[in-house]
Amino acid sequence: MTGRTARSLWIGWILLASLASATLAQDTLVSIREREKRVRSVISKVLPCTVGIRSNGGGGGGSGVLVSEDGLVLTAAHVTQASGDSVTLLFADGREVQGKALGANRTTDAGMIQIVGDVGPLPYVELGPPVTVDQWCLSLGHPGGFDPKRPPPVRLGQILDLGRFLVTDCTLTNGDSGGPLFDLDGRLIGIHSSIGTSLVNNNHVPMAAFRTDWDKMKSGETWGNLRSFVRQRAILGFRLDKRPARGGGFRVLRVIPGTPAAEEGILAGDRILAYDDIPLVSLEQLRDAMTQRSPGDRMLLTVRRGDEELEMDLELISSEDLSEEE
Amino acid sequence: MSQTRVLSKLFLCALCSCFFLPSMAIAQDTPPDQPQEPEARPENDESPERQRRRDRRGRRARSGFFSGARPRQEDPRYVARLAPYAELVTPMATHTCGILVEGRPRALATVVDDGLLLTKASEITDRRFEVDLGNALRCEAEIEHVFDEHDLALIRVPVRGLRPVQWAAIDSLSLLPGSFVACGDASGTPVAAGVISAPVRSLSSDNQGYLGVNLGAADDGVRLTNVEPDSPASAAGLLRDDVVMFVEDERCESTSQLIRAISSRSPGDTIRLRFLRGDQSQETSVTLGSRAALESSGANDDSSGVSNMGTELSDVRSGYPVALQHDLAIRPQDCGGILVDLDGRPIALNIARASRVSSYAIPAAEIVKLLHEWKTEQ
Repeated sequence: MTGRTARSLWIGWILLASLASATLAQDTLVSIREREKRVRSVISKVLPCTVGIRSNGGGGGGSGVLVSEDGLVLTAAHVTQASGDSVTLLFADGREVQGKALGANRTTDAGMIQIVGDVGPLPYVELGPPVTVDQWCLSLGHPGGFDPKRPPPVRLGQILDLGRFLVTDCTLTNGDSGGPLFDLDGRLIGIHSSIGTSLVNNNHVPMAAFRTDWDKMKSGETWGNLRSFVRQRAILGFRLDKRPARGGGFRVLRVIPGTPAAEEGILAGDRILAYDDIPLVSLEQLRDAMTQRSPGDRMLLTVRRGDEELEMDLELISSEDLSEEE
Repeated sequence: MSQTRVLSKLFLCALCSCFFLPSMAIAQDTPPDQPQEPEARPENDESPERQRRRDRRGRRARSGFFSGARPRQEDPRYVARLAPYAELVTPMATHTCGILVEGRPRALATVVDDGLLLTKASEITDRRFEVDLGNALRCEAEIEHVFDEHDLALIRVPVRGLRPVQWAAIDSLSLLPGSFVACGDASGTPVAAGVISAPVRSLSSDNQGYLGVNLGAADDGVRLTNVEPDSPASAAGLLRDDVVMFVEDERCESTSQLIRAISSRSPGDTIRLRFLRGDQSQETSVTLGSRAALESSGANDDSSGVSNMGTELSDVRSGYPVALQHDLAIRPQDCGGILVDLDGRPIALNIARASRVSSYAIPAAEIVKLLHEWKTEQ
């Protein structure tokens, strides 16, 4: 297939997508009222579990959320400075308790704090299941820092993208870091991490990042680095047809020049049958797999070209490297 | 193929353009309830009140490195999400006019009586403006009264037959966080929808005492982690690392307790503080300063350079005696328009885009009260 055909196909896709978006089934006032009811009941449940965080050494601060009765608090790694640091946790009702920073993974920006001392039973939230794009969510936190005159302000939005970070249009600003993102059942689905320029670029640490490193973080270990904390997605370097190809797998529509896919010789028209020996049955499956990888990781692809079946070992690169080469 | 999938594909391409923009961590450098001293103020004859008013009319965060993103109203996806709100927002167009400065939309104005409209004062004062009545009709207007603290202006147009809005002056306690709200432009097209973010509160800091310290926890009280130079605290001889134990005769056990003790008192009040320096207990008297004098644009969420990322802020966006905070990404020119709830009731009037995460509205009950007081005075 020539480059021009691929390009016109690609443009065709965009046109199709725009058409589809115009005809997308809409929310109605009935469904919106239903959502309002859920949001209001969730807030009363999760607001008491949301805290402001202030470092006792002076300086930094942020937000956090309680996830156990005995006072385990999830927050962002860049809010807790060093393991063992002493912090004050501030509840919306004016109550203050003391805490100690546990471990953190600076690469995923996940961090933990343990409340210390005898403070009695504490309210806490449940961790939520995996999320999907377009799902509604709400954000709490302390924008501008804890303010005794105002409970953590509520913001509503939708999940726009999944990756190493959840991207939503629940707007965040300074002081929100470490604060909670909830689904409409009041379960914790993210921890506020960073923002980009636009209002639709608010990044949250997904629960998977906490679950993976839970014990290590709880034991007080801190690792990783903040540099890669800036949004970086691992990519292969090609685009696939959304529709499963006849005979299995997914057809490559376009290969991006300068990427590992191009260098290894993947061509438009090839069919991707499997990755790491796992048969490819849906695009979501591959997208999910990519979110678990980092630039520099390797992936083994099983590729069908005509009658040939090829095995290709690709090194993943960062979406940022792509910007330099294109 | 499902439409959702196609949509998410479209969206992924849309995102490509922002992959490469800088992401920013959003930790917070300075606790806000202990404001840092802004740039030194020039000594002059201006009263603090006059000066504050002038400061409030500071530069609009219009450009700047980070605020270049396009408004959400230009995002087709967002517009599609707003569509069902038209049913609630469109009826308000009858009560809404545009305010034009140099022929361009500057604010909205809401009809509150025949010939009388309410708009955002700071967008029209010291400027030539016109009222856009719709149907290509424009007229001049006179400023009848300015409610300075609320940044509201009552303007009179030489036109009869305008239909005033019937405010839903509901109790402020019923304006619950999480309630859905929406607003539109002068033509009745929805421009934003979202939720009430926090209970109605006062943003006025006129009568709050100010000490000039940063606070941290300590075993015996509250530790001063920083004492601002030239602050009331430093004038009283307080030093960094002093631990405040008592305010007057009240034991001081938490930072928020001390903040409340200070901010509930007025500038000029003198209070006795007992504190620990090393292991020595000492006492001093502090004459509180004015916090208001320190704040040029002191909205809560506005304490840093990232507060305007992705959004254009109103020039004046703080100090309201009664305000409803919501998360609608309105534009400065949407201020002066009506905020409706899911029953289509006009519950408030938008008054400011305050930060990336917040906008403020004046609750309908407060507007009804203001207009009533004004009428009684006439």
